[in-house]
Amino acid sequence: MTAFRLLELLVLIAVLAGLVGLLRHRNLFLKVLAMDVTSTAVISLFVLIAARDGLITPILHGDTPVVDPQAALAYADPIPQAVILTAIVIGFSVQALLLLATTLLASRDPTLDVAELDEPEAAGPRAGQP
Amino acid sequence: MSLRSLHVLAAVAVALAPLLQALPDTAANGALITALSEQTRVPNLVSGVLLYTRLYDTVAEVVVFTLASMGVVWMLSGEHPQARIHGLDDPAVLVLCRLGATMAALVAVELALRGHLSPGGGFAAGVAGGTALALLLIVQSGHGPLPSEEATHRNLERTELIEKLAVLLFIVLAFLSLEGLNLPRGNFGALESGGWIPILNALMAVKVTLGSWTMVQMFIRYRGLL
Repeated sequence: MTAFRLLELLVLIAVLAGLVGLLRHRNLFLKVLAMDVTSTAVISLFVLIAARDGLITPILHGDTPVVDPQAALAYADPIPQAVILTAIVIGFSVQALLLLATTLLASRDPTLDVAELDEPEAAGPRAGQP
Repeated sequence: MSLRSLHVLAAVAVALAPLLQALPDTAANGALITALSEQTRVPNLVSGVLLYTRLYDTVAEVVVFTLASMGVVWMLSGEHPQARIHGLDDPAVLVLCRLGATMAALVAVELALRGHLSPGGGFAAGVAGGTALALLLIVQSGHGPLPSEEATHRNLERTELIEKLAVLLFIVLAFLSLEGLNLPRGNFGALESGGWIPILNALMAVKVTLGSWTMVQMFIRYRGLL
């Protein structure tokens, strides 16, 4: 097994940990946090893939855009880095929105148990109230 | 087999599937770097990809971020703000917060203006700027009475107006760039090179700064500091 595959396996285990947490936790808050674990692991997977070709940051030095093709082989791949940069920002904003929705739900049912939240309103703890 | 173990099996299959995929050849990278640097004409190729070759993607991403910060404001607007917020009062922490805010603000300007030449770019600059404003907010909220409801509201509206103007300008400039209307290219590696890229970087920095600041401000105002 090459070093890349080994690192990939470790990152994928982190993805798996997040996914299992997302599926098995009954608490909505912990589900949201497990989702963040998955997203962080996916980000590291992209960083790992970008570094597969070379480790030098893809920022050129010198006064011309011309790159020696041999020297260019040592640069990291800029495309996965740029792709995942957008995912980081989206992940942050979605996380903020999800946590806010969770805190609003917590004022209705502080246990945040998914099975209880799924029940129809009439059977909930505030039955009969507006 | 119960449904829950089936869930876990599905998660294992999804998570470990990439291990079985064959990897593309690495030799293609040299040609890619050369092509990108000639197309985008900026040293920081990640900025070039983000704001030139994949600009269409970035526009949608900016819109999603704006919608999320609007969503936070909208969801919290029905709540009651905290009457008083327990702020920090340790002098050493306050000095460190102020120092951190100053540093973060300077770093934000540097990252926004030179994002196409060195590591940085609009998103990183926006996060640094948002951190600076949030640290100042933490320092201020421990001192004196809170500003009145109307003052906060007016402040927030002005911030949102500037943020939305930045987003609209970003979208307009992005479509100009997508249509092929470009600024003069300038010298490679100079501050005013790379067409629209430096301007788009600065607009994105303004937008992410104000957006993340609005979110942090709403969270502190309605949920308190601790």
